[in-house]
Order: sequence, then C-alpha cells, then structure tokens
Amino acid sequence: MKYWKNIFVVVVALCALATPALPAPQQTGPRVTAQLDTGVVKLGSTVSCTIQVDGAATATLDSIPTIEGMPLVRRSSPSYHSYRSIFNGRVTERRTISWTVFFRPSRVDEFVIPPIQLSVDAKEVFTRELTLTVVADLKGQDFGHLVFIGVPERVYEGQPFTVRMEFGWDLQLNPMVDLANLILPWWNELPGTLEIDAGASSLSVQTAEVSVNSRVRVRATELGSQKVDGRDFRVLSVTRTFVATRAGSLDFPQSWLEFGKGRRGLFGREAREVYHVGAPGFSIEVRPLPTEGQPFDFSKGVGRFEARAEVSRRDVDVGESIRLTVDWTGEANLEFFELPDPSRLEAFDGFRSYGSTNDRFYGDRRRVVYDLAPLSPEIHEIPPVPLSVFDPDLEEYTVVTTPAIPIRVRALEGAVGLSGEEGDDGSALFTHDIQTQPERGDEGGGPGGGAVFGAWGSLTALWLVSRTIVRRRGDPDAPAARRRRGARRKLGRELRRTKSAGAQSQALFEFLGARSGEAPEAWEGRDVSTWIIARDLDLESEVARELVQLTGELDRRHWAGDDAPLEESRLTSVADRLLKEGF
Amino acid sequence: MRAILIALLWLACAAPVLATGRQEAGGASRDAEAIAAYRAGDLETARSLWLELLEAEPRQVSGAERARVLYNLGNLAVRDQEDLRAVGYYTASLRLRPRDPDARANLEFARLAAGLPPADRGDLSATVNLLLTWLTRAEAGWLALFSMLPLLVALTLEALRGGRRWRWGAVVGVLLALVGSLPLWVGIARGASDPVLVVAADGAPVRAEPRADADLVESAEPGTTLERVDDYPGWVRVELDRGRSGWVRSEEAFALKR
Repeated sequence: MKYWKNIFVVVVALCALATPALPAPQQTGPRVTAQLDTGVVKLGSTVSCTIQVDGAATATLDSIPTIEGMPLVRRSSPSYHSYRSIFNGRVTERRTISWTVFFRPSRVDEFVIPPIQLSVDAKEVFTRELTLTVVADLKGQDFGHLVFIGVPERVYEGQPFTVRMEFGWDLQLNPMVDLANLILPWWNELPGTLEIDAGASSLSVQTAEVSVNSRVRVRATELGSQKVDGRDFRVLSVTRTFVATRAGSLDFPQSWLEFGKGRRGLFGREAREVYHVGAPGFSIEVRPLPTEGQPFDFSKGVGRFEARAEVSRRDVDVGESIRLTVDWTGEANLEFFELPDPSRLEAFDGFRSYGSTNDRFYGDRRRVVYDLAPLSPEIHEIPPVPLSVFDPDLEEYTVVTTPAIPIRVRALEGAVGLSGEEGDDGSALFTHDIQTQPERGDEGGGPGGGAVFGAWGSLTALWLVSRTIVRRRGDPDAPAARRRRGARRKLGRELRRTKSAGAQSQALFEFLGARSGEAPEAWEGRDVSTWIIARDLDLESEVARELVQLTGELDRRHWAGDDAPLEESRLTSVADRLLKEGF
Repeated sequence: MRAILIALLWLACAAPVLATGRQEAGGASRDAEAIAAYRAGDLETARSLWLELLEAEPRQVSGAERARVLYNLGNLAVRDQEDLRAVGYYTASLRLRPRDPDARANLEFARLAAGLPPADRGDLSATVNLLLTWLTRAEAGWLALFSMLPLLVALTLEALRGGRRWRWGAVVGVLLALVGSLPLWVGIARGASDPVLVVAADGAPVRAEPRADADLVESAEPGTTLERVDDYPGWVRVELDRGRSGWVRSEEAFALKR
C-alpha cells in the first residue's frame, strides 16, 4: 500500500511539474462587451459607452440605436489594440477593437440603452442591454444661467437674424469657476443658413474666452454682474447672426452651459466639480419671399435698409468724373443684395456711368463708389439711387433711396453739352469744327523700316571693315599707339613747365621717341639728317633742317652755354610741322 | 584713308535720308467743294466728295491730308448722330496724324456719346501706347535714323581708337538707337495690321460662315477693335481670341486702315 501511495505522490508531483509544459488554454471565440462610464449621470452631462470586441479579426459597428430623450453626440472611430504573449514557447496574439459612443440625456429619466448591433468576423453580434439613470443637476440649475434672447419666431428667406445667448453663474461661485463650455448642438450645423461675420467688436468692450462644444474657443462679451432670480450672477453673452437661405424650419436643439472647476490640481488631488444648466430648444420658421408684387428690379435685399450718399465734388465741368459713394446700413442682408446699376436707371440718363468700384462690406454697412460723368450743363442734381428690397416688418416690397444731391455742371467752353436737344444743329455739339486748310503733304514719306535696316547693316559692315583695316597697322589702343597719339599734347604740357634748354631737349626727345616708336634716349646725340635718310622718310628738307638746327641749338645751350631755354613756339612749331608731314 | 572711312560711315547713315522721296498733295478743288457743301448743309454731297478723295491713290493724297478728310468725315458722322462711326473716323484719322488735337478731342467726345470708355484712360499702358504712337511713320523713321548718330560716332571712334571706353560707347549707342527706333517698329506693326471697329450699336454677331443663318460664334461689343483677316462680299472675317475667327457684316465693321 505504501508502495502505491508513493507511486501516487510521484505521479502527482510529475503532473504538478508538467503543468507549465501544457498548452495555453484556448479562447472560445470573440467576446463583445459594452460598458457605460457611469450608471448615474447629471442632466446636461455627457455619458460615454465603450463597446469592445476581443479576439476578433474584423469587427464593425453597424448602427447606434436612437434613444428618445438621449441623443447621440458623437461616436469615435474604431480603436485597435493588439498584444502578444509567449506562453511556454507558444506565441499567442490577441486583438481588441473598441469604440466610444457619447450620449447627452435631455431629460431626467431612467434610460435603457438597447443592444447595439455589431458585425464580428462576418457574424451579427449584439451587446447587452444597459441602463442609465439621469438625475437633475439641481446645483447647476440653481447656480447657472443660460437663456436665448430676442430670437425671432419667423423670418423671411434671405433675412438676417440674430441668436443671442446670455449665460453665466453665481458670482459667489466665480472664484472657483475655471471651466465654461457652451454645449450647442446646432453650432455650425444649421442647414439652410449662412453665418454673417458681425465685424470687429469695439475695443472698449470687455470679452472673455469660452469654449463651444469643447472644441472651439470663442470670445464672449462680458456683461458684468447682473441680478438673476434675485441673486448676483456673472453674465456673458455670445451673439451669432445668420441669413436664412431657404424656406422651412430651423431647429435649434436644447443647449447647455457646462461650468465649474474643470482643471485638476497639479497632482490630480482636487476633485473636478462641474455643473450643467440647460436652455430648451426652439425653432424658427423661415418663410419664402412672396412672389406676388415682386418688382422686376428686386435686388434680393431683405431687411430694414437705410441709404446714405455723398459725392466727391459738386462743382464740375461737363464730362468730368464725380465719385458717388453710397452706404447701405441696417438690419438686412447687406452682404448679399445686388447693387443698383445707374447705367440701367432712367434717372441717370443724363450721366455717363463708368461702373462701380470699391464694393465692400464692412460688417455694419455695404459701401460702393459709382463713377459718374454728367453729360449736360442742364443737370442740377445727382438723382436718388433706388434699391428695391423686401421689408419683413411691413411684409411687402419697398424702395429705399438715397437723397438727391444738388450739383453744378458747367458747360465746356464753346460747347452746349454732349447730348444735344432735338432739332439742334449737330455741329454745335463739338468744340472742334471741320478742318478746311489742306495739308500740304510736306511730311514726306520718311525713311521706312528698310532704310533703317539698311543703315544698321551698312554701319555694321563699314565698322567691321574700317576696324580691320585700322588694326592691320596694329592695335590703336596699344600703349605705343596711345603714346604716339598723345605725344603732341604731352610736349605742350612739358614745354610749359620747363625752364632750361636741357629740359626742353628732353621733352622734344620724348615727343620724337613717341612718334617714331622709340625710347627718348634713342634721340640723344642722333644725327637727325642721317636718320631721316636712313628711314627714307618723306620729310620736307626745310622741316628736317629746322629739326636738326633745333636739336643742335638745344645741345649747345645745354652743354656749352647758360642752359637758357628756347622760345616755346619754336619747338611747338617744328613739332606741328612734323605732324603735318605725317611723322 | 581714315578720312575716306569716316566719310563712308557717315554716308551709310545719310544714304537712306537722301534716298527718301516726297509725296505729292492733291485733290484741292474737290476738297474745297466738299467744304462748301458742308457749310451749306448739303452733307450728302460733302460726304461723297470726301469719300472720293479717300479713294484716290495715296500718291495723290498724302497721309496728313487723308487724316484731315477722315476727321471731317467724323464730324459728318456726328452730325448724323452716328457716334460709333464717328469714333471710327477719328481713330482712323489719328492713325495717320497722331498729334492732331482736334481729332483727339472729338474722339473722346464721340466715345463718350457712344457710351465707350475714354480712348486715353491715363494709366501706364495707355500712356506708353500714346508715346509709341505719338509720331507719324515718317517722323518715326527720321527719329530711328537720327537716334543712330551716337552709335555712328561711337563706332567711328571705336574703329579708329579702340579701347574700352568706345566699346561701351557703342553699346550705349546701340541701346539709344534701339529705343529711338521703337516708334518706327510699332508704326510698321500697326501699318501691317488691318483693324476694324465694330460700329453696330447693339454689338455685331460674329458668325462661323459669311451667311446670316450661320452659327453664332459670339457677339462683338460695340466699339471693339478686331483684326480683319479676310473679305467676302458683304462680310469681313475677323480674328477673335484664342485663335478663333468669325464673320461680321461689313456695314457693322468700320475699317480703320484708310
């Protein structure tokens, strides 16, 4: 027995040792779970539901069931997580796909979230049913404030309307409030409307930044401390202006203000304390513009318009330009109406219209500048500029006009205007009569393109030829050539400076050396007559003789005399004659 | 030798000048008759006489004289309240005699009366255009020749003396000569073109073929200038943008090249 007992102990011990070597337990298949972040939530808060699929290769969230009183705020994109584990040398990979769905309850109630359908590995799978209790945020309603002011019940197509929200919280709560978030489901989600830029606000207006839908930051106007239900509240306002572009109903769902202490402390110690206060949803009816009685020149302007006009000058000559600046203001679709065109208005028949410039919208007014020129001195005013619009208060089409502006138009000298009266002699319209003096035809034909081309060609060809010929004798810009050309000028300069026969002799040798292409020293002691004969120069004998005499005279004075200078004119005269002879 | 070279260089410029001929004026008596008819209020006679003068050979009637006749025909058109046609006559007159102040003033008046923007808008491109067309063809030719004088001097000196200074002088001379010849090239380009002015008050339909029932290519605005590329009895083929062309009725297209 003891033997069998020992065998049993050994087997159990072996089994115990062998356990880690057994394969990892297998999963039975994909697992689908759904979980709310809380079971009880305050009215106005957002509740999230996390749906998770484990161990599936593919999964899609087909649709979220509609729950009355608890609209869907948004759903996240699928989030994928995969992790690997190595167990006894075996690699196991698990994959998790999850979604987060956000709801915002709109009433106090017990809500049941029905099963949510998913497709998991091509099979239909449902989550379990979830329950949520929504309780009233009594503190939020007590400490918070959110109202819509001046929202019209109905507007006309094209009519601008303003949605103004006033919101705030108890002033005693103000020191701890660091979160203000407007939850506006209709923000940027109003089909059939265009939002109008209200323009820059005044610098004197105090503003504070609040967030909208936890995504964008907007500037809210600070209205300061105000009494709400007998208590002091810090109140702010946000205003948005829209233009309804099509008939129908504009639905604004319930809006909320979320406020309180949203930030946690440095180490997350301080608790987040957030309150909610709501404002009920509302609708605006957008009516179509009546077709009956709509004028042909209807500008598509809808609203209460006011018009103002001014001119750049009021005293002009016929045909001179006048800049007429028209401003349209008022609660109207200023940005979108079509401008009147004076050239199509009968009242402006006496004007030439050069169109409009500077058509600009400044937020509170639309400005356009018309360029007009009066055609006759008979014109005494700039007529009113009419604008056909629809007035939603009167519920009828009306015409808004600028005031007439008196002007003085002076006739041009010798002219009666640009558009004559009936029966006028047409020639009187012009200051410039027919020309009766015949032109004598003294203008001539003048050189044409061929002649100019010919001149260009000839000039170029002759330049090339002359350049080639000149350069056969060497480069005219070479130092020796420049020295040769400047020799006479240099001689003149040197002679004016010299005070002795020796210096004059040196200057003359420099001149002769430059002209003959030699160094000046080559002329010292040279027998000029022999040199002329040897070089076969065509010099007149008188010039040659004079040059010989001159050099001899200078040598004598310098070496045997008192070194007195010769007359300057004698040297320059010989030099000039040498140049004339082509030396 | 040098003297001969210089003389040849200068002759190169002077040759076209010497070769230029002179034109002859003519048709004085017919013009006097037209003026008398105009003064007497017989506008039809005046018009037919001036048109006859215009049809004369260019040798008989100089460019300036043709410009004067065109101007007078413009005044006639104004008296007939044909403002667009008057614009055409004045524009054609200014093409031949660009500095005529009467024609320029009346053109602006006629354009205003016809509902067209001013011819001289006063902006940069209009000013440059005015400068380039300020001279007649003959004047532009002389200017082109005389603007070559600095180049001639610079080239002469460069050939004889050489050196950097005169080479740069030649470059400056070339630039001056090119600038001086710009009005001539512009004039030649304008002379080569054959523009027509749309004178139909409601615009002229441009058709694909010279038939009244042909497809409509587009409608040319009154006062638009188009380039004539072909003719057919009663029709003018004009060039449109993007390489397109079409036909307009000849009575709706006023020829500016006269």
